[in-house]
Amino acid sequence: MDGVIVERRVDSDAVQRLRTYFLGFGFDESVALERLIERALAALDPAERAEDVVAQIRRRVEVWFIDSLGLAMAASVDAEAIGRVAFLLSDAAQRWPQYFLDAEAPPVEMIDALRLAAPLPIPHPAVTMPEQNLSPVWSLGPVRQLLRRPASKAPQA
Amino acid sequence: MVPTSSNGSEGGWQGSAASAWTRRLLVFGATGLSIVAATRAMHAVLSSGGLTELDVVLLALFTISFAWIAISFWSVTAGFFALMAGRQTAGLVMPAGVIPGTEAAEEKGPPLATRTAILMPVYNEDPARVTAHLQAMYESLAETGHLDSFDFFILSDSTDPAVWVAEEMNWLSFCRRVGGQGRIFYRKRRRNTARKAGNIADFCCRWGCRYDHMVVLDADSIMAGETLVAMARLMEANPRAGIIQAPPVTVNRNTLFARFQQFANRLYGPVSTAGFAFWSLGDGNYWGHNAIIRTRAFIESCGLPTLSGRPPFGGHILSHDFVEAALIRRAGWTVWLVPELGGSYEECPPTVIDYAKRDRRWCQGNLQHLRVLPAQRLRLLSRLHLVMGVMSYLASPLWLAMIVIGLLAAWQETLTEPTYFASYETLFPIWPLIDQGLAKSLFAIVIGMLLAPKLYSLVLLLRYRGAARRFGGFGRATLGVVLETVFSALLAPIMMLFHSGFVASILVGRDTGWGGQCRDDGGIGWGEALRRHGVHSLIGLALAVVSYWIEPALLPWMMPVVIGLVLAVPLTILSARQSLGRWTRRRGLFLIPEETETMPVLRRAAELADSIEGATVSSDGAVAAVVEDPLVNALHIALLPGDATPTAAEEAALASARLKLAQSEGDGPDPALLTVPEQMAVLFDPPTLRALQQDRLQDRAKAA
Repeated sequence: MDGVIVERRVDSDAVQRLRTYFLGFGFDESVALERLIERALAALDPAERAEDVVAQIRRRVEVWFIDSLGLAMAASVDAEAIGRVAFLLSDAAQRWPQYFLDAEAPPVEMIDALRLAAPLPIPHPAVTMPEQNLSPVWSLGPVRQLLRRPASKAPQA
Repeated sequence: MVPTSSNGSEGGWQGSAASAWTRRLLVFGATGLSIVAATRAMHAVLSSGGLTELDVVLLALFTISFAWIAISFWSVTAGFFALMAGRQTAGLVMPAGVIPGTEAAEEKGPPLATRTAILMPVYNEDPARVTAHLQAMYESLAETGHLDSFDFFILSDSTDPAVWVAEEMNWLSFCRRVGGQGRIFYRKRRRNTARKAGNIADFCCRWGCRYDHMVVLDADSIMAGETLVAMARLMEANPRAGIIQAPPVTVNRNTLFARFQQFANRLYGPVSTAGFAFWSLGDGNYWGHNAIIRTRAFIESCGLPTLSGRPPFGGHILSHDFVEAALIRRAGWTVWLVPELGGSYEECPPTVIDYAKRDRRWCQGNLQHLRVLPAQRLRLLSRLHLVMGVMSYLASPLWLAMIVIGLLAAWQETLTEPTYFASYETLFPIWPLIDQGLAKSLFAIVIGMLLAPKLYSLVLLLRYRGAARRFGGFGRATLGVVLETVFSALLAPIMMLFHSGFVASILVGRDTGWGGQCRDDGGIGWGEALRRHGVHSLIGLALAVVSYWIEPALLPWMMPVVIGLVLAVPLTILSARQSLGRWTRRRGLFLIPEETETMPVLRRAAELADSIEGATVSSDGAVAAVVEDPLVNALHIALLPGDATPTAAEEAALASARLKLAQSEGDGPDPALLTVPEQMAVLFDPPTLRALQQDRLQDRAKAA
């Protein structure tokens, strides 16, 4: 029944792609899956092409995970993948299927379970290790520095 | 900036400068005097019939080789007396109860004020085994009550796609088993630039600022929780300490060869490390693993440059540990070896061949240090550590050269007519007599110096109550020492030829590459043994024939070398057998305390290694594993570092992979068709992995 409602609003190919997409979150139970698809499509423009629909839903999913997991908005953070791990590990598709992508805030226990299961994103390099000088003693580095020093100090004087 | 305490000293290190001088004067003074005495004696032996050019070369080689023996002997002797006196490492502040195993250490102690990262760099290792070791350490730390002060990192440089994916799956299982989410991390580098040193540097750049210290491990390392806590406490109590090294004990192997190594390391190791600690104090060295490092000091002073030129002498620094110790010391931080720290373990190669393979890598790394040795502003003792590393491998070709030149000199002797009558007036003819007594005394002294660590260790077993029992009793330990001495004497000429070959191949510019290390108790077949040792045995036979041909009396002197080389093949095969190793264990031979007593962390690691059903991935199944299972797919993508852009070659590999997958016939894309570089390219590309997984889920949905 729900499938009929969905197919009235968007292209059936888009629905099929969304169905496949949400299978990757552990929505194996058909009723929950169809309800999720209906919920996800509710706010979308029915005229969108199939690819665009899936892309839009993916963006919604990312935002949902960023909000729910408290992730930092960064280009390198794959919020969808991190969220999907959390979702699958916490068995959220079975335990809280009705709250995913819902306008209503998810329950605290769901948020806690997701956050506990989410892998932390790998941070960007924050510092660099200065390369050390291994020049041999006969490269006269210190002597050169000594000769250079008066010139660099001249303006101060 | 290196911190100083109010009195300008750190843990008595500055304050004990006079003591340091005394200690070093004792060890190096005795070494110098021994070298002078031995060289004079050798000169007297060689110059009986006048010194030839060959004799001069022989004398020079002897002096260098003897210097190596002498410094080891006097260092070990210092260690022996330090242990006999029951003295702790001087110059380092040791808070009460910090040393594991002492009564005061039983209490939990105050919370740690610092945070420590435990780093496990891996390169194509068995992921289940790695996580078993880490879990044992994790649980051991939890028992100390200080787990909150530590985080764990698996830092992968694996190049095998199947190992990579299996690492991720095993990491996840590990996290779930111990509830370690948010405390145990996994990171895979896109390119393993600069090998282990680059791997650690990458950690420092990403996470280093979040941790006061890092404990660097090897893939076969195991450390007890109380040791990790003790190391963190020592760092807190000694703010100028840059590195504190816990001497690792070799354990867990069952082949006869490995049991010889374990026994020797466990019995003779303490006297050796105590000696090293006696004179090095805060000018110590770092062995690359089982050490705690002050992260800020490391970041500031240990960025390794790429050496100019090509490998083996140019390129990235292979044996980074000695260089990092020298650099951190140059920056004013101290480096300590603390023999009192127990609970530090590693595994040794199971066979002679594996041991030699590892030595090939180490040899190249140590010879490369010749480029670092003259670096500006390094401390004298740091240079000495580098020289000692180089000498561990150069000693072999020196010994070989001594044998060859000795034979040539003996041959020259047979060709030269003795001169009985001098050109000056004398009543008596000149008899070209070699001082046999002096020659034999010198030989005996050299052998005595080489055997000293073994004898000292046996004396120490008697000195401490219950010590002998931990090695299976004094009688068995003594028998073990005798058998191990015979084995190591037979092995020495084999390793001499191996090392000489390594040095020669490095000098002609051959690079070793980066192979994984064998961690299993494997055996060696006749084919491989013959391939590896055939030449060694032929050289041994040739040596016997030539010696006999020059002078039959020479042969007995050459026999220790000849026998080892001739027996190289059976020696390697027999010593690689687990059955023999286990037999000796049943007979109470070569026992070590880790076998006679219960070491909880080792026992737990062994239990876990046996019980964990580690996730495995078939050699061509990495991409399929990531595509088939939604969790593995999501996990893999989530763990990718998002900051490494692909090279042109990697982009080409990805394009080729996509083409192959698109052209796959049958049920859909077949990842098994991909080459290793193509698999790696796909595994680093989330869009491709997502698309492949969507295809697979779609197929599944249709089928349902």
